Amino acid sequence: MTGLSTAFAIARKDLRTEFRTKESLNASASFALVILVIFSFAFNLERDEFYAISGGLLWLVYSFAGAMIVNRAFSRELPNDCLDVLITSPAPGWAIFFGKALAAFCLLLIVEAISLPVFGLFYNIQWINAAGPLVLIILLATWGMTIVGAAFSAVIVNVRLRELMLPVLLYPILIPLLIAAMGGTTALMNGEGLSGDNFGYLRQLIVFDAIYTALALYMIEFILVF
Amino acid sequence: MREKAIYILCFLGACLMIWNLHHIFTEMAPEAAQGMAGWILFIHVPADFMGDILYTIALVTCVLYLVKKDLRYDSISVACIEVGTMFILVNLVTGSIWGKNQWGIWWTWDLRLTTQLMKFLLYLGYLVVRPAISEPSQRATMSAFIGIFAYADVPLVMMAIRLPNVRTQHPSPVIETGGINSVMLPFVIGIFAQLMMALALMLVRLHQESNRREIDSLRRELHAL
Amino acid sequence: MDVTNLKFLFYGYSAAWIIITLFVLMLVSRGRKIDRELARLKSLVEDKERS
Repeated sequence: MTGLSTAFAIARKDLRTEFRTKESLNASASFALVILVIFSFAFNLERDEFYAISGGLLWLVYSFAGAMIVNRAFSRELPNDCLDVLITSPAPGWAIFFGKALAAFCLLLIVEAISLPVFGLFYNIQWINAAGPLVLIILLATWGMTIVGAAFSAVIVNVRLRELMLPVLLYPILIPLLIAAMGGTTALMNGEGLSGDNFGYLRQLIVFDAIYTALALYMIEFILVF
Repeated sequence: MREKAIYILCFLGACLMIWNLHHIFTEMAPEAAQGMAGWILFIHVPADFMGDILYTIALVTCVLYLVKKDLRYDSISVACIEVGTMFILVNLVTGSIWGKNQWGIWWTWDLRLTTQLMKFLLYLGYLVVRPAISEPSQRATMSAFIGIFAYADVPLVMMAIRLPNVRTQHPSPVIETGGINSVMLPFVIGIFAQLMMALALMLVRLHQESNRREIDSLRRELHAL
Repeated sequence: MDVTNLKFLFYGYSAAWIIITLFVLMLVSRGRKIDRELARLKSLVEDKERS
């Protein structure tokens, strides 16, 4: 099998496992909804003022849900030594990693697709008008989150207190991505397009994705071999 | 011999800093725009330099560890990153105090401060994860990975200070614009003082790391016996 | 104005010194722990080898 078909096979396996049990999907989606509810108590704003913080709120919810999902990417292989089997198989390291990142990407997209309408409902934010560019920002930023998250998930898969360590490592690295995603989303919710000043957000997302995808795919060989 | 070197370096570093302080109070006039508080520059900027230099050394040794798998490189990495993180903390705190004096606020979210804080948090993550892995070579591999990933922010901070159009309150770099020439002497002394301190702390830390490696090998030997 | 600025200069320098001192203290205490552990393990290994 070529590397890419191996990656897709692993992605399919992960997705199939997840859809049969739906454990992390359920947990992550419920967590996202609970956070959305709690945030509504955090601020005492007028209806229109919510538009100013809409991007920030949305990506806070997505990043918390994302941390839960990418954590499972490699830790699901720990029981029964499945991770050792994967590592010692002839599949190239980058293919294993890419397949898992792809599966986490799809799962996170599902959770985000569930939370976006709920977000619009709770906070009375009209996002339908900006749906096209919004989907683009969501796709780019989610890919950045999953690729970096899967990389760190592979790094700390054997560490004690794994669930606590992942946010500590992941969120500082994601700061540029989150700044761009939050800024772009707020701009879109407020009716501005992605041209002019706001194009910088899109550019920052693309650069972040390109750099960290290349870095993670290159470095993962050193991690998955021990 | 090593202990003597450490004491001498510490003493030299402390002397240089005290000389600097003396120089400020006896010879230097208040800085043009900032009054006397501007002279915090002699700690604030060299601390950032030392932190960056140490992080760069750590990047090199992290890569070397991944290539050669020699645990001594991992020891150098962790020593550099610990001491470097302390220097960046000094940089952030002195900058914040200076900011309270000059602008009336402890913190602002402009590009420079945000990227510097991000750098601090990234390497803090490195230091937090390390104790959680008990097996030495695994710990070294993970730390090398995290150290390499975390270095991406260091050039970002340097660029953030030099970007021309960024709206920020932080003063522009004085080294390039030549504003530093009149106060070059205390500034260079400040750098040397922190260099001495960094070297002393690194020596201590490296000795501790070699002791720790010996502990790991003794544990293995005890397990085998 | 000058006095206020001097006060902040003092705060700045003392903050830097306090951080450095705390770090040194942390290093020293960790060093002592490591030395104790090393001595203990060495004596354990010697006992095992003798027996």
